[in-house]
Amino acid sequence: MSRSLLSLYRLDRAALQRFSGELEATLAANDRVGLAALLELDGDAALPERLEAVHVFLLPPSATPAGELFDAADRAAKKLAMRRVFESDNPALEGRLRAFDALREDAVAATLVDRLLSPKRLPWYLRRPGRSGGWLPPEMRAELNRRLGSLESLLPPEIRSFARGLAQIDGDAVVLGS
Amino acid sequence: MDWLERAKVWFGVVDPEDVAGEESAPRAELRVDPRRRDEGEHAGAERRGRGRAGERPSLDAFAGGPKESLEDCLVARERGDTVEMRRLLRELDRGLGLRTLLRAAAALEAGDEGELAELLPRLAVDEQSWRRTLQVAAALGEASEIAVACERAASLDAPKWAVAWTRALSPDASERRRGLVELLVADPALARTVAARDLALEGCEGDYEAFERFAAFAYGRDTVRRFG
Repeated sequence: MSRSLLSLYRLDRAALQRFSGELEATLAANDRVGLAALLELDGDAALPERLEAVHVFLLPPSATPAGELFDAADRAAKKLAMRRVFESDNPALEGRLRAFDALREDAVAATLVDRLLSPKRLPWYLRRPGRSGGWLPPEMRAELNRRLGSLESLLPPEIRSFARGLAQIDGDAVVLGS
Repeated sequence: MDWLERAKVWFGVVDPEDVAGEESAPRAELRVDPRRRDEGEHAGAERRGRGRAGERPSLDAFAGGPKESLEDCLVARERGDTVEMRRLLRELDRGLGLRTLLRAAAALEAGDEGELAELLPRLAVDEQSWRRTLQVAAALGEASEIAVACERAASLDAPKWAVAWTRALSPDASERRRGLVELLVADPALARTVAARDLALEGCEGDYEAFERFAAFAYGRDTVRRFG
């Protein structure tokens, strides 16, 4: 299994909720044209004629045509509701965050990191089997900032870079793997 | 529940109720009691039918596990032996859940008001009555029953995935679609599994993450459906 490169985003929660609501409404109505417009697809060619729109999202996310729709939903969500503040070029970052001793010994920091790397709280269209990702609300993000700051001298360079990225966020933080 | 037990449930070898929650006495008997471990050199092994190291265990000694299951009740019912079915249900009933529900249904069918009066209060206090409500509606498969059951289950604080799953089984295409979307939002892995296993949608595949939850809920629904 390849290791992913993590990116950190500042999240506009209200915008993401609006996007989620619109996406779910188009699927419930089987509005193929509306879905294509929302996801900025080139017409509804990505939606096989014989399938309802929601069925495509129920297919294995790694295969065509579901993969194309998930990618499109991912792009649309980022465009409408997320702004990237940090992009790691080190595939070891996630492993370091999950296992680096100094970070793990601070139980609160470790819990917050685990939460930030738990995809369970992401909207369904940003979750795919094997993909890293997660979300941290503002108060928890602020606490993690503080804890990472106090541990800074003990942390390896990739976690320090991540911590600097996190410090640029003043609201909800989202992590997504490549 | 370990992986072997999950697999047994998934393939219908055992009932979920036999591996989940508190164990019944016969199953517990199969274990070595640590307080009796020192009673004899081979005390624990002998109870499980083993002799000394290297000897093949006696199959006769494995007769201590649960002898009957809901499957036996359903088989008895299918051959028209309702007396045996009700005896088995009484034996298997743990006072709550699917077995109590079926026992009450059998008592109702037989006009046994005494037994029914004993069971109804227990069913009324079942904290997971939403589960039975949805399983019965899903087993009946009527759009109107499913709509009413989903409303009722939601008012009983049923999890969103359970309500959405039941709605996704509605014969009404619009309701079914709405249920699938709600299920996708609540639990994408389960949504993919329901699409593959219950709805047999082309190209869909079950998701291992959701198998345990799928098996437990579908087992109850399918048992009710078979009970009729």
